[in-house]
Amino acid sequence: VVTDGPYAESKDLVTGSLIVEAASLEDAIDLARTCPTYEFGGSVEVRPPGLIGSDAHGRKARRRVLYGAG
Amino acid sequence: VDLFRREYAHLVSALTRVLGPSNIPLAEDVVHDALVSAMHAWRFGLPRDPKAWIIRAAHNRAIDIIRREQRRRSFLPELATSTALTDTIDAALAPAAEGASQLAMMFAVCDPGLSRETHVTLILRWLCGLSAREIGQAFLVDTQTIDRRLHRGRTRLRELGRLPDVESLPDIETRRDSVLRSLYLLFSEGYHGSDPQDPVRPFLCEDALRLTGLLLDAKATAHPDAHALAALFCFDAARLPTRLDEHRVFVPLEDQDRSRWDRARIERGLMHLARAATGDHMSRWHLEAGIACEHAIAPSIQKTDWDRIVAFYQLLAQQSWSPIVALNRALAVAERDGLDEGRRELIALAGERKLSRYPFYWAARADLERRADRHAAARDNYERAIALARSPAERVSFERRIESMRISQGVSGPGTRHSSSC
Repeated sequence: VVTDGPYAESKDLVTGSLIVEAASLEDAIDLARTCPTYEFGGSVEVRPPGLIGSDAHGRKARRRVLYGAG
Repeated sequence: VDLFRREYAHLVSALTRVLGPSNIPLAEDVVHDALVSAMHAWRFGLPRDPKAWIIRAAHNRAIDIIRREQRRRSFLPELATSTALTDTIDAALAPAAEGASQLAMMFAVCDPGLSRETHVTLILRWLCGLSAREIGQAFLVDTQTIDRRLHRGRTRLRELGRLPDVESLPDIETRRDSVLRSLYLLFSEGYHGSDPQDPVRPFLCEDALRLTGLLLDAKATAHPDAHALAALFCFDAARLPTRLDEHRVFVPLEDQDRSRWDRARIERGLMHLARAATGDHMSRWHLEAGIACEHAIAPSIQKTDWDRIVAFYQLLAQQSWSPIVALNRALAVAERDGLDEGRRELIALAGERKLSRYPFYWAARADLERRADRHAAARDNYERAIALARSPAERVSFERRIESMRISQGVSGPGTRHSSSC
């Protein structure tokens, strides 16, 4: 038995989907079109930003381009 | 399917209590026959009360088999005459005894003479109703190993004349600790397990919660530690619906839709946490519940109380240090004090053998490098994480990170500012 436990830090914080920030909706769509996930039957979602500003720890505001695998 | 698993657990425990632990195989046969007959009888539609139907079938089957076997085996005296037999089986299968018999079974299998792995295996078999093959899949262990553990468990239980009630156990404290630890492993396996195709299995978390509830329902076992464990399970289970996306890939905490977290579960967690706070004892379950609580009640990562989380990890490390605890503390420190402080703590753990084969250690290193815009170092670390990933869900989530850095470098130009973000 691998006894690591249900910790949010290692299990939830560091896994990830792809998020890219673009200056405008048009840029975001252009960016989404270049996404290599299409070659594998994946999908891309363009979303408006949820947060504005940047915090002290390297997180920045963004327009989101999320994509999923196959 | 859940009904079958649960009734399997309930009935095997109840029948073992009357037939004696030396007759566990007989109890298993009775329950198996009852479930098979239910499957046949229900082909054209469910009965009004499926649970009562199964209990009735097991009742009849048990009486048949005991009568037939009476000459060849020795049963407890209360099964000797035919009226006593019916009454005893009736009482054992009555709804009022349902919790007590499963609790007795759980404390019997968490025997100090058996290993932790065997405790968990026996709980999965007899209290969650999983087959040896399913248990093997759940823990990436071959079926023979599971069979050997089940065999050791049966042999050990056979030495007991009867399944003792929990109140009468002289070593109830030791056993309670083993039971809580086993339930924690069971929950953890559901929260983020080793099955490559199915790393998140909420039914195992539900079973861990159900079995913890049995401890809380009985006076002898309703200890503050059990409340703390129940609180931990509630807070973490509340977040299960958002951990995987529609492609069954892990979603980072920052992108999880907190409005979809189960509020009722979080409230129940707070209730258990309050009831865990009696006495002056602070177990590791109290500390882990405290951490899980901060995550569950925070409106966002930025507004999470990282001070408190780091303090809880500090105490946890003092009480029961492990490389995994140190890894998680380092990530919490990175949130509280900044990326460099977290990174320093992670690098200090590089010599830990267990972590060098643990994908989340490398993913954690990679994550901090990426957020500090050191992309080459981040990529190297992600690749180590990918090589060690245990499921496609883990692998793809790390690959997405590399991809996000590639895109953000490849297409940058005037008017477009982009960064990958955690």
